[in-house]
Amino acid sequence: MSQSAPILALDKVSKIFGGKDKPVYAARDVSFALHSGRTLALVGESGSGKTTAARLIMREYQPDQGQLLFRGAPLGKSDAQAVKAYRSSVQMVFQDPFSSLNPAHTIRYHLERPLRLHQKGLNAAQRKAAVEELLTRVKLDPAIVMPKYPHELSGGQRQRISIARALAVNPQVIVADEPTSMLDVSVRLGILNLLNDMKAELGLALLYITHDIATARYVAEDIMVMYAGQIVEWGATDSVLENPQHPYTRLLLSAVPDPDRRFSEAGAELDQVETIRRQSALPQSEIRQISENHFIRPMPEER
Amino acid sequence: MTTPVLSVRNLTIDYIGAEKDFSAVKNVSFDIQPGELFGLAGESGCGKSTIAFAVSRLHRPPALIRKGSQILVDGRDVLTLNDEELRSFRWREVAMVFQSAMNSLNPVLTIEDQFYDVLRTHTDITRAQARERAAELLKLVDISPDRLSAYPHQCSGGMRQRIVIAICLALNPKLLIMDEPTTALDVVVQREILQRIDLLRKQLGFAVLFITHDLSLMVQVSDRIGIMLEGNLVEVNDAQTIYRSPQHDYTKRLWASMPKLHGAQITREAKS
Amino acid sequence: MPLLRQLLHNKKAVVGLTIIMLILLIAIFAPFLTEYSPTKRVGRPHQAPSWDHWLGTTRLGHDVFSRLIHGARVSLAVGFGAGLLITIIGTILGIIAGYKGGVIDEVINFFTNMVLVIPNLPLLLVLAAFIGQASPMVIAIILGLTSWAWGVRVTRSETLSIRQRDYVKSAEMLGEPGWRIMAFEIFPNLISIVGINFIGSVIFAVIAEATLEFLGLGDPNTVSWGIMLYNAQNASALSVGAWWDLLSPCFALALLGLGLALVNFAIDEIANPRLRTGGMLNRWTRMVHAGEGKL
Repeated sequence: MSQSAPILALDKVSKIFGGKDKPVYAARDVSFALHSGRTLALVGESGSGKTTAARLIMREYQPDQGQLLFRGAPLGKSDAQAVKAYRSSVQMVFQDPFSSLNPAHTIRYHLERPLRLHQKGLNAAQRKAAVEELLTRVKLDPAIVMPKYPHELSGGQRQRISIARALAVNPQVIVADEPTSMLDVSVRLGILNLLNDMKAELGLALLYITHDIATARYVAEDIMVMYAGQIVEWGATDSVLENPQHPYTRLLLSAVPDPDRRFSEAGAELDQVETIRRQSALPQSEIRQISENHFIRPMPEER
Repeated sequence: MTTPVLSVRNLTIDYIGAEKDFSAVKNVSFDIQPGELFGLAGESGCGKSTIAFAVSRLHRPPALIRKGSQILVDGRDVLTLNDEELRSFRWREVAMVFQSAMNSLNPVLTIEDQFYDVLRTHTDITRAQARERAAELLKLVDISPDRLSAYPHQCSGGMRQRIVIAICLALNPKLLIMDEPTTALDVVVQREILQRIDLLRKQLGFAVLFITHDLSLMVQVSDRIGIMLEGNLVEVNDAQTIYRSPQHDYTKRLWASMPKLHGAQITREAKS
Repeated sequence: MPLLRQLLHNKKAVVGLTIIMLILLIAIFAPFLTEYSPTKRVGRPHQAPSWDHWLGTTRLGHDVFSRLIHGARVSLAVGFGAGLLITIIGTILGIIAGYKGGVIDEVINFFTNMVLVIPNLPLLLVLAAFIGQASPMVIAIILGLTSWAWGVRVTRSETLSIRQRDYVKSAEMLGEPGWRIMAFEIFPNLISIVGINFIGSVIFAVIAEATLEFLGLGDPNTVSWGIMLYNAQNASALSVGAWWDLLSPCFALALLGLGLALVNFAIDEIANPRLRTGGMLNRWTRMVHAGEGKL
């Protein structure tokens, strides 16, 4: 399957905390790429490094090793122009619908600010029209929603507004950090469908971070599994989920609640949780290719 | 016909406001048989936690359990118990594990002290006996007894939750209420804990009222399931039937909005 | 503004605001409410309250009521003026320290802790004594410049918790300049804290001013509640039975303090719904007593 050049890529990035004698790798030798019109899911448990990856992309952290490549060119810290361009190209949708909007401002304010900052040429009327268009795109009624404050809206509506805010600057990459985990079940699908639609309509590259693997299957063409700061298995979603090779991936998948399987039919991995965790936390071995779009970093054998 | 371990009859609970009332639980009735795992599923605000709190009589104003409601534990109406009777009822007959149970462990007491605290309040037990019992209970949840001298913050989230479960089982209650016990934990830890509960249930014979919003999880662990919507109990059936042939529209809609991990994927819903 | 509307629904706030408004209006219209000048001798010394002199006279024959309502102007002016100064300094330093962090935070903290540790009243006494007979404006400025430390602490810690919220991160990711984030994203969420800080500062300033003047460090030619206390004390008012001379300014100070405290409690209640008790549960209590339900 042919792919265009990646919009955004991490190249052997590591992020290390702690002192020289006891380094903690929040991210170890992480490499992945985001392409226009495709969704990459990043799955893992808490502490796996997925939040660190998000923060590296949003430039909250700087890599200690490796580099961030934007449109093929490494992104340094000093070039102000490049940083500004990056800021309007990469946007984030947060997990918590309650704290991602400022309770003191109306929805109209929330959507006008990005326009004011990144599209300076617009006059007041054009701005208002742009805000209305954004709200319509995320399937909200502008007349009703614009004058409201965040606390007057439901969780699902707030997430839609978060998405609208991210779209306001015409980004090319959207990082969605657990966008539905704090929403009610019946509302989640609407948000996922919205993300899919936006991706298709606007050719966005989407990084979808989650611990809910079933939703990853719904939205993403490609998937990465992370543990202890490393990507242990990645590739086409179907291939990875139907034919998992890494013991940790198998462990994760067998633990996901599946109404078709009773408890007693547990996978063998659940009996070796400690061993798998211990071995998966060590630096994994060299990349092994399973099929055209399916790779793992094998777990080192126990000594 | 055995007496159900829990029998909820016509339970109606309102939250009384300055002018208006909010009806949280509307005339709900269901039974739980001894040794059964009964799941109560629903989205936020449907009233499932309100019911759980009512069984242990943990509500504070402005909650009001309406006249005519009955909550029978082993045939005894919990709503008529006075304070003294309630004290012996709690922990002995019914124990509750909360979602934030990890934070319901006293941070300044060692694990052993937490056990002693509960055991001493409800029985005449010496320190040495309490320590023995605590070690026994920790073994039930697969924790080594040398953790007895540790403080809660020295234990991981999953471990803390298991300790709380062990404390709840200290007096052999007939009913364990679990309100979203694993929602804040990762899938693997969640799986381990629930498997443990399943084992203990078969071993010790207690019934469980299990509350969560995760319907897939519920089908995997429960014998029977009740679906709640806005205070109403809209469907009650055994787990596989709820999964394979749901009757109520709302149940069908819930299944249709949950992406599947294996097999045929759900189709897009037209609603926003 | 939603906060204002909520305040007007709260009983404590309504009572408190009424008291404050009343005192304010009386102070503003003082010259119209009395025919006597506060500084002229208009009666016999220490006359008891009568129809001619509602609150009696002082040792020097001045009308107490007239002095009281004219004095209100000074006490209120110093109170609100100093209160404003304290709040402005405290809020600005607090937000900057909380948001910027790093070196700036350390410097502000160090400075704040220094000022916090210095005992307030003795410092005021020393300064006032140094300056000699301090006029009310001087007192207000001294109070304003020495009492802001506590406000910084409170504002800073609230800012620290708001700083972590996603909407602040979002603003930063959009490229909003720092000053704009502090003024328009963080500050609007601090209004309750700032309000409580302000009212607390006003209470403090009013009492501190009265204290300084009572101790003789004020300008004896001004007419304020503190000076009235000072004069009454010097005239041994209580011992000679002229209770109206001393108790009038006491009562006035207490009443103003009460009004301000009530408004403070109300803001606290609105900001933190868990503090709402008593009155709001009336319906619930009635229902339980009628046997309609139980806990």
